[in-house]
Amino acid sequence: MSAYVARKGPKVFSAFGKWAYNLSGFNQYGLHRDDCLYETEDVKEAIRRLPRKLYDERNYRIMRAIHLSMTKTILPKEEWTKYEEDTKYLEPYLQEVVKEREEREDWNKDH
Amino acid sequence: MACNASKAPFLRLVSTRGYAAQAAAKVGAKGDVQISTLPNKLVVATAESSLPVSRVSVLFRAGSRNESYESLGASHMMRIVAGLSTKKSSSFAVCRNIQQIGGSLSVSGDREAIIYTVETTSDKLETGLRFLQDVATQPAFKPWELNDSVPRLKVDLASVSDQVLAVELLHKAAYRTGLGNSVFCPKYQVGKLSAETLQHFYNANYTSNRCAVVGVGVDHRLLSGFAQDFAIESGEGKTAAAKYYGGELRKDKAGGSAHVAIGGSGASLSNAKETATFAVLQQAAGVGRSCTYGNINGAVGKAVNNAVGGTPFELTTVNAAYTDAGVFGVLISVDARQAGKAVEAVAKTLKSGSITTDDVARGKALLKAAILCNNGTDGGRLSDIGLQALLTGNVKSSEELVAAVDAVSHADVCAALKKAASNLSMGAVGNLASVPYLSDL
Repeated sequence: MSAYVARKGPKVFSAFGKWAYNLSGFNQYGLHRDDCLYETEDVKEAIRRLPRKLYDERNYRIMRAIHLSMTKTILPKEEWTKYEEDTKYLEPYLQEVVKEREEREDWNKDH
Repeated sequence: MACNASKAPFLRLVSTRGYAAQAAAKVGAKGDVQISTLPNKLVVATAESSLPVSRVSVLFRAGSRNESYESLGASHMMRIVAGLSTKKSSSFAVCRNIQQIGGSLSVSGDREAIIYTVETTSDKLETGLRFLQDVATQPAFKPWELNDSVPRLKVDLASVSDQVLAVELLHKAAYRTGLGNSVFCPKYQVGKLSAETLQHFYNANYTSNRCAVVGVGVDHRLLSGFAQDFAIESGEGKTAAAKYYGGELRKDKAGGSAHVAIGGSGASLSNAKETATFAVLQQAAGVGRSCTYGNINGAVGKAVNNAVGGTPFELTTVNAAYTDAGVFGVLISVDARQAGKAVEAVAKTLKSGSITTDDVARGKALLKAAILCNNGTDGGRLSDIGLQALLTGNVKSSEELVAAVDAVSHADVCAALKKAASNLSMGAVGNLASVPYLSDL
């Protein structure tokens, strides 16, 4: 499944991007960007398609974040997700799901 | 809209003559099959069609005999995978585009071959071929799609009849591995065959040397060009030679009937004479009823009829010829209480080693009719040409096949029967209370 290699870090590195990333705060819970997506139908389908390992890791991060939030703490700073290391693990799957949906919509428009 | 041209008497004359000439040419060209082998050893064969409908099959020698113990069921999964996403098009695109042109794309398989077929009207063939190529040579094996199709696999398995199961058990008893592998996925493998296993099976068996592309109602050069573009590896691949062992497998099931397949070593396709002989033997032994509520005729049919005395039963002869070996046997379904007598009658007839000249003559006539009937439809021709091209690399016309049948002598048929009965195997399913064991026959 070499086609599903995830992108690591931002598409274009910028100091502003880094500032905004750190400001958003989810990284202090150890989350990645793709853990915080709204669970639309597309995202749900993409999550369903994740390989077992990635799926388990995602669930672990989310459970840890909920626990931290409940206890009103955050991770020690060295465990925060770094701007450069944020893995967009869901992206290839999500892109494929969206493409498939658009294909269906286009077809239904034309036929 | 009616065409005005044919209202002029002169033009009408021309058009009727044109049609007549065309029809005459077709009768003459009936047996014409064009066959060529591409540099990468892929066999292409085409024949004329009687209708403006084109049918094209892509065949691979990737049947269940090529499965290893770990990958049992892979060939069944390959049939399931056909229609899922490919590397070039999604399953949605394959399905809708084929539907849109009013075509059909289907897959079937046996122990040796897996056959992808597309049927469309001739003007829409290009679209059909595009998706045929995607489905046959570019499967994507997406893990979530494989998981999603487990229910389809279960439906397939649930609809396997007991009679089919008996024939599967006969093969397994006779050949153990290789040809003994079932064409259906074993239950314990459902949902266990991973995308990697299937990809490995695909890489090993979907090679150009193991491929044939055949068409009915399609231009030969067009189809050769189509086949040349296949993105498949070249290479011979490996198929273990079949060895006949013989044995017995029984599966007890609730119910009041018994289904027993009993037979022995049959014809191999590498020996054309033997293939014809066993085909005659099959017809002479009896292949079911030729009219509703009629008797089952043929040597075995008559023997069973006498043995069970009026109890309804169903019987057919199994004649499966593979490239290097075969299975010839009798499949019988009968009330469990009468099964013992019926099976004994079958075994006795097989072991007698002789068959009357009348039966042989009738068998030949039936076989010739069957060959010609099969070649009378484009679909029948397509599968016939396809399997011949794939397994023997050559295609015989129906005239040649009929001539081969005529050349079979009574002594040949008796010898074939002796060969089959020399080491019997048995597969039995159902209520087997009265079914004797092989050693007691």
